[in-house]
Amino acid sequence: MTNKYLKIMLVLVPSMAVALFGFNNCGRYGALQDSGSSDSSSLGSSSADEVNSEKLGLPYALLSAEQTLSSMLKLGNVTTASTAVINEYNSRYGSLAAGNDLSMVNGPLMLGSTSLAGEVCNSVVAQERAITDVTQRNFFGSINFATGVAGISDENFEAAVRGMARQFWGRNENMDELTMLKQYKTEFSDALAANVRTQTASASNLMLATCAAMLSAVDAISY
Amino acid sequence: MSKNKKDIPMWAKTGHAKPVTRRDFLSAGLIPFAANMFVPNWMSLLIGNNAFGQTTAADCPAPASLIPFVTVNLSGGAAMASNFVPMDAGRQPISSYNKLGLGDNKVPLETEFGNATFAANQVSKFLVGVRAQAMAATIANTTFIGIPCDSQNDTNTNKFDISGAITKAGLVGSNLPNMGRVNTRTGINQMAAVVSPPSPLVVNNYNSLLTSIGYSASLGTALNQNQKNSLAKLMSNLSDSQTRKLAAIQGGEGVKKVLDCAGIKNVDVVQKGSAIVDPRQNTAFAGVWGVNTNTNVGTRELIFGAMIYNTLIGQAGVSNLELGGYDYHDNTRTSGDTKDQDAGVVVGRILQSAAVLQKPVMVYVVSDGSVSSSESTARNAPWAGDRGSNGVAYLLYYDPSGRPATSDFQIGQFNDNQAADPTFVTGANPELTAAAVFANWCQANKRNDLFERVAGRILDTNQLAQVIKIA
Repeated sequence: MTNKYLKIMLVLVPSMAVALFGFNNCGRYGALQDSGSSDSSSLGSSSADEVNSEKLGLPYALLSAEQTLSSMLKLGNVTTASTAVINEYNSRYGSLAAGNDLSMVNGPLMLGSTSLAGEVCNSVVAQERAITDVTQRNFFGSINFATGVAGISDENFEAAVRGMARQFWGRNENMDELTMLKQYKTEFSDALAANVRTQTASASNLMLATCAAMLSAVDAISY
Repeated sequence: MSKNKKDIPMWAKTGHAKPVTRRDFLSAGLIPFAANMFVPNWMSLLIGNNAFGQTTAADCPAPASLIPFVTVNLSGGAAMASNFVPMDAGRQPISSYNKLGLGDNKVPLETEFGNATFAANQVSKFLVGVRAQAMAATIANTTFIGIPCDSQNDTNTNKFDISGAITKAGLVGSNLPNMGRVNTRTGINQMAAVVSPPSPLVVNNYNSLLTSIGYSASLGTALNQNQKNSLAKLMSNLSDSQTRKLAAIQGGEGVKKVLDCAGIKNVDVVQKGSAIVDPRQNTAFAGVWGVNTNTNVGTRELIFGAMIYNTLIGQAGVSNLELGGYDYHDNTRTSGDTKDQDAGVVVGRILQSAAVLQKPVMVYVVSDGSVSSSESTARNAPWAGDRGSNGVAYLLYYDPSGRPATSDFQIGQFNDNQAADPTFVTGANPELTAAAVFANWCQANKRNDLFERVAGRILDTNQLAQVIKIA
């Protein structure tokens, strides 16, 4: 009796092991890295079996060009697209996605999305700065633009990031993202001469770039 | 001791059901289910949520030393069998060319690019156009292969585009992706053969190419270069972080890598600045296309020249050019001749561009269907209607070190119906024609291993032997 169960287990356990390691794609990158020739780096990534997110049935999709513009305006509470926004959209249209497959993302699409977001954010920053009662601002209530980037503390910046994350990403930013954004703030400031850091434009430009980055991040241009 | 097969089994004695066996598990799909369900969690327990790792530049496609590739699509159904004159299986003229606007089978011929047969006396306007732009020395270093292939008329559904396979084989740009001119998945009005290409950069005008590798508008003016560099780095990092959820889904790792690599490449691209895409920085090259700093950004020659420049220097992947207006059966020969010559001009400029830059290039010219004349003995009979059965694709290959050797100037043949012979492997199938082009490109690169790795067995060994003409 016991022997028969043992035999069953002897077959079952190795079979499970084979199934576990053989059929769940654990080996994909390993196999590609072994491809040998000096050209294998290019073959490696491009010979991935399938990267079309729609064919793969992934539960995420990319916003098309039209959806991207519409979404950015909506998320930024910009009711009317400025001429500059329309011009940038038309200029970048060929770089933006023609469909909803996530693998359509390429370098020009990312740069185009961020540039388009920058133009939308230009409207956002202008709208917010025009609201003198800072408690009525949607994103930049914590920001005193008049002091320049030098006057924006980490706490001020984090509050602005929190507002944009909730609006653009539908969630709070995580620690990784906050660290990256604060690092950008530091690098942004370091790239300016000391006397420029106190100028109003420097604060506007920091918020413009931060807004553009967050509004064109993957979580903002996908659904 | 041998087992008595008539013994009552143990499980029956106990009153239980028959034990579940390995086969039962397999038939129920339990093992694959268990594999899919448990291993990711199990792996995470061991090595945490970073099990999928951060994509690095080393993981991204890197340019390989492969022959640049350009597709020229003549949208509408060009008379390609009346410029290059297709032969029969014995490489002799077919019985008549009177539906092809060339009269009887005594068509005056001249050979060019080695032994390829063209309608002489300037009847082949394509050849006239090529000769107008490419110097004799360039033509002397170019070979030509005609590929008869029946295709559908006036449609974008023929699977002639091979940019996906070429890209997958490793021809990727150092700074730009594959490019096209039309907002389709291939960048031209042809469907992908073998494998879909990555989404092309659609070059609507020169500015769209120029701005595609940098930040523009408000960001372009508000940020200094260091701030732009930092922004590109931030976007790359955010992308890597926000795509981790994809890696946790079966099949999502490849998609994550596509997104991550786009961001990683941008960090490098933004640092270099947009001037690197400008073909006018090379005076000789600019001269081939007749462009200068005053050329309007919407000028076709500037757009094509910029695309070809970036493809030839390896900065971009495959360039897919689109020429419209080839549905020219208007009962004249004039419109068709003008368009055919224009196609020749573009191809001639591409070849001459490669000569100026001392780079090899393969140019693949396709159309959707073709045209026919009424049956006529005239060698300039007007185009009367669509006729996809006499379609032909061209493959030109320039090498600065000398004309590439070929075993033939034609793949497949025409039959006496004045049509591509459908019994030949590529005769009635655009996708196999595209595969044959890919096979020749692999051969030209001396990398035949790439064919099976990318295209599998779409053409078997015997068929490959029939279609590979590059020596």
